[in-house]
Amino acid sequence: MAPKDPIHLPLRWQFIPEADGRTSAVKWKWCAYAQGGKLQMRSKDSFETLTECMEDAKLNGYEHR
Amino acid sequence: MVDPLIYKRMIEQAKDYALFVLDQSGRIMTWNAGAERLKGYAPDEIIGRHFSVFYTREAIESKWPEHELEIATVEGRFEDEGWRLRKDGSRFWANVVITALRDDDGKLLGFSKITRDLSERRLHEQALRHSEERFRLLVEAVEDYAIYMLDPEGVIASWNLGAERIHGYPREDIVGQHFSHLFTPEDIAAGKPWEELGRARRSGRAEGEGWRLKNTGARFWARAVLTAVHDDAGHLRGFAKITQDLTERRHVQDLEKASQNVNEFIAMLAHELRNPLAPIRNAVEVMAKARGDADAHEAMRQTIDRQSAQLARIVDDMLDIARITRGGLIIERGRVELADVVHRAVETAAPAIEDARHTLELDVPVSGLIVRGDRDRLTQVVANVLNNAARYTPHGGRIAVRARAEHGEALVSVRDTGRGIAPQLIERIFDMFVQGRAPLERVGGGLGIGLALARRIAELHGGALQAKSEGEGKGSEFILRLPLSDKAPEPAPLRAEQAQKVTLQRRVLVVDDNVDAASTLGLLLQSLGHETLVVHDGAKALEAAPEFRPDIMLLDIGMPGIDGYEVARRLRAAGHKFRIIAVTGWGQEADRQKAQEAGFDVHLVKPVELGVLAKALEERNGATLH
Repeated sequence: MAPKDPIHLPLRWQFIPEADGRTSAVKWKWCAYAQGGKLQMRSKDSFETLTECMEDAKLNGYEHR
Repeated sequence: MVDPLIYKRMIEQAKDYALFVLDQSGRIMTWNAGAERLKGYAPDEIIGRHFSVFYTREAIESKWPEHELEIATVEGRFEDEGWRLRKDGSRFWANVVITALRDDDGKLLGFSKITRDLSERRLHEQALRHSEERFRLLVEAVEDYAIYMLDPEGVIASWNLGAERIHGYPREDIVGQHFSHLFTPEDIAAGKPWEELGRARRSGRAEGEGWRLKNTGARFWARAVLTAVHDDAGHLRGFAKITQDLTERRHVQDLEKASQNVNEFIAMLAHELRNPLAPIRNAVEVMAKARGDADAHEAMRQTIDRQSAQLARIVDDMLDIARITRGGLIIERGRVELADVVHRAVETAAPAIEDARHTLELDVPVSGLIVRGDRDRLTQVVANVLNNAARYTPHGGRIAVRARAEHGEALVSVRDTGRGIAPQLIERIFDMFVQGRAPLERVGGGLGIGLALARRIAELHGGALQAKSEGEGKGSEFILRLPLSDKAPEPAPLRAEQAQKVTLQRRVLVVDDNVDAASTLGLLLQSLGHETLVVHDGAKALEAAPEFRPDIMLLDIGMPGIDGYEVARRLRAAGHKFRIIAVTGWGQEADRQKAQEAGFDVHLVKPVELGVLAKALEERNGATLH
């Protein structure tokens, strides 16, 4: 679902920890919403750390300058 | 009609009064029992003598007896109090009434004289007067307390030496003034002097502590007791006021409190230093036991990296506190994109957010919020607030960061779903050394000084840092406000990892008496591609420099024997022009000045971040390299 081009509109980014039901291990996902609240995109994968998750979000426009 | 004999008997037998008759010239014609008892003369001893026999020599010389008769003759009556003599020559204090006796035609027949002995009453009055005098002298001489009387309206009626010393007013300047003169303008505006009078009037006494004024306008901390004074009939006659200057005691209490705060701070600092030290020591143990295990070594290296970074942050905070205390915190003035600040702060706080598994929301414009200031310091502010949000929010909470422009200001708000802040602590959490959050459980450690630093940094940018909370358990919001700047931001400086990529190879002489610090720094520089030589004292540095011919010398200052300043001086005196960089724990402005005077080119304070060190090695700054 992640688009190919970085998004330049000011999105609201959310980084969410999700616990695995079986192992209780936590993985991180990101979502990006339009200002109106509509989901624009979300991470395809989940990540071991918040930092890795942010790095993936950067590839999709987070922290784009 | 009463029998005249009854009158005669009454006069003759009255014992409490001397009652007798004088003729027109003052000679005694009659004598009663009271006169005999009072004056000691029998009737046959005194009748026919002049009444001046009862007067003292001084009174006779001043012709006082004649004067009495003259007045009685003219006015019909004369009354006096004074010393009189008994037969035995002893004195008594007498009340005397002389009345002119006239016939029906007004012709003077003589005088009646009634004398009472008031010696006892006079003694009592004298004793009372002496007692009052002693008390007055005592009160007036007291220097440690201001003791003075007020009339029922609060006007000052008396003023002792202590009052003069404590308040500074001489008696003549203050007696007659209302006692509210001695209160601060705030207390007067709040009606405190009159409220105090009212309390003393109602309950007999009003007691309290507060600021009072001296005649110079200076304030002192006073403890005062106001007591209502009533007469025997229960009417309010005024108030007695006693004031004690407690400024010194309060100063001592303030010092004790400050000392206690500092002690608590030191205890907390020791605790916070132990936190990263323990895993570092553990990591070293693990590395020693897991020789050859590359994965274990890498994991431990990361541990040491993280924990030493935490140590460095603590030291940085300490240095910042020292700078703020002496007003020496320097703020760079560049144009900064606020989104950049927020993203850097999020990166800094990411480990704490990750540990607590908080959901993080960011609503930050990509660009356009430009402020003028110090990127690193502003990042420090936002990171501090974010770290606090992570620490004071129970695991699995939510942290929302929002940046926006509003009324010419850039706003960054950090809201959490955490423990919140009690209303009475909202401002105290920004106090230095005061554990404003003490009632909150210390969840995530930290020195508890970050918010004081953060607010000061915001203020140095012309902005503000505020806290909001609806109460405990209801989350908090911290809002950073900064003046917006409308010009484009300056390019960001190279970050550490970028700086490493452009490093040129240098010959670096490392001089430090701390063998571990010197060796690890040497190894680090080698890993960056530099050629290094490590020595551990000033003498060896002077010996090695001509032979090794460094491009750069990283020189510690505080070393036994020849210290860094002296090494630099001798090298410069010998004509060496290579770059000398101080790497030292001494970071005060005076230290930098001294280093510059000794010949150092750059002054870096330990612990030196790799990027800063790389940049210092890269720069020439006009120094000649050979």
